[in-house]
Amino acid sequence: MSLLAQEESKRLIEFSLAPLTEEHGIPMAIMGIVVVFSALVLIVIFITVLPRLVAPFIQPELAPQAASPLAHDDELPEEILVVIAAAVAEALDRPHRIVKIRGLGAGGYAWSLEGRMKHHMSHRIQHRDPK
Amino acid sequence: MNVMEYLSQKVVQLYETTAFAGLELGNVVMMVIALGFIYLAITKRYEPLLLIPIGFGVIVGNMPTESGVPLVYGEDSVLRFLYFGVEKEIYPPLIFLGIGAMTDFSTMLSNPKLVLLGAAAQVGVFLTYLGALCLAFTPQQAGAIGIIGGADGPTAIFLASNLAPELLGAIAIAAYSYMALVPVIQPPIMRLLTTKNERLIRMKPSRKVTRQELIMFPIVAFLICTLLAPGSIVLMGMLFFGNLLKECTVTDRLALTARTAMIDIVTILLGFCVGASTTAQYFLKGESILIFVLGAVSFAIATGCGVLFAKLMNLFLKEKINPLVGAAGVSAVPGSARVVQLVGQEEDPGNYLLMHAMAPNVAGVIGSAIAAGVLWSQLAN
Repeated sequence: MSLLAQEESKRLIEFSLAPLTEEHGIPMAIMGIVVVFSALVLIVIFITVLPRLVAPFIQPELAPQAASPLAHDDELPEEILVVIAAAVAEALDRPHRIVKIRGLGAGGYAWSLEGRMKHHMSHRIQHRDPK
Repeated sequence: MNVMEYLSQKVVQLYETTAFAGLELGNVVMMVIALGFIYLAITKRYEPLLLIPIGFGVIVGNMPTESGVPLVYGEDSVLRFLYFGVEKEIYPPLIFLGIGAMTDFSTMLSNPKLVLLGAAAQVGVFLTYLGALCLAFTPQQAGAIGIIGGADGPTAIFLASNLAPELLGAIAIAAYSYMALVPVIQPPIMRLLTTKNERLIRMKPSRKVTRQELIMFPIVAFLICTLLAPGSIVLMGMLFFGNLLKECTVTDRLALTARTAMIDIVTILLGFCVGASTTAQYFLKGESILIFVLGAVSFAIATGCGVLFAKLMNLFLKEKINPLVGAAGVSAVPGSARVVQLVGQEEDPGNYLLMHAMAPNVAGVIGSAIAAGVLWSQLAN
């Protein structure tokens, strides 16, 4: 067995707790853990107060337009119309024509929608025989 | 001299001019290990971007040379100049720049308490450091071995080339192997340390983070980290610089280059050179086996500490956190966050933990770089 191999096999079985009590042992490990935790705790504190720090620099965003009812059909984005058309085609699975798509805003149509729902719910649905 | 003697002499001469003459069993073993890396990378998709360059580098490095000196250590070899970037710690900070340019800290900013899980996982680094000391490694070698538990390849290479260059190959291979084996190593530990009810915990969706917060964070976080651990200036500086390039939105071209072309080039060079440096004569030693064992222990302890710390936090928190996300405190981004998502969905397919796990995951990157900075500043001399 070569000298190098002998040294290595010796190292494989070498075990001692003595280095733990030295300067570079447990005291350094504790110091390292404390530094890592301290840095990240400070980051946590900073992140927590960050929204308040940046608040003066944030431009107030304009109120969303959804509150005002849509006046015309063509105000709906094209993507929405395509998605609705695709959903209807998938659901019906037969030739059809979409006559009208309109947006129901919370403000303008809410009461009439609620009333219409109540009206429909007060009637028993009649199942007609398809023959 | 008859014809047969002449021919056999020529065959011997020819044989001596080939690499077969210098090929030893150790080289063949290393090549087989390299083929294993390449196999895992291609078929199992285990960190292919790293294991393919490393694997092929190992094959190149173990090919016998005319001078008998490995290519990366030979004075007149071009690989020597490429290896310079590993030896002089040029590549790891550049990789950190790229990581910074691709990291989204918004999940961390929206849930600050999860940052502590990134710190808890670093306990594994220091416990393994103590273990390595007990096994008669020098403090410098022990520090370089311990950082494997951070599951951060560039940090491990950075520290090893500083503190224990003689172990660089083994440490780099171990660090990248464990990063690749995150989906294998972590789940059993996570299941062992958590109950079914804990794994079922659902967490609230994160709040939206403003652009101003994202811009301020890298600047202030850099100041905090490096004032406390000046040893981490290089790694932290590049990480947060890259992140500022991304978040400020006026340097999109630079951020794009840092997170695509540049990090790809550096990864190729780093992986290949590290692979080529692991020649049999330097790598196949008892020390390497110990490093692999200690690396696995370090990684397992880091995972366990993250999970247990999350459980500890739950004792004091009104809104409970799913302890599985603690496992993402190791900085294998985004591998360990993905593992958290998969283990969580085994119990509840409707539970989406990925974005929550990204918070300790990126905090782990910061934590392991700070840990490396502490070890470097205390042990370098």
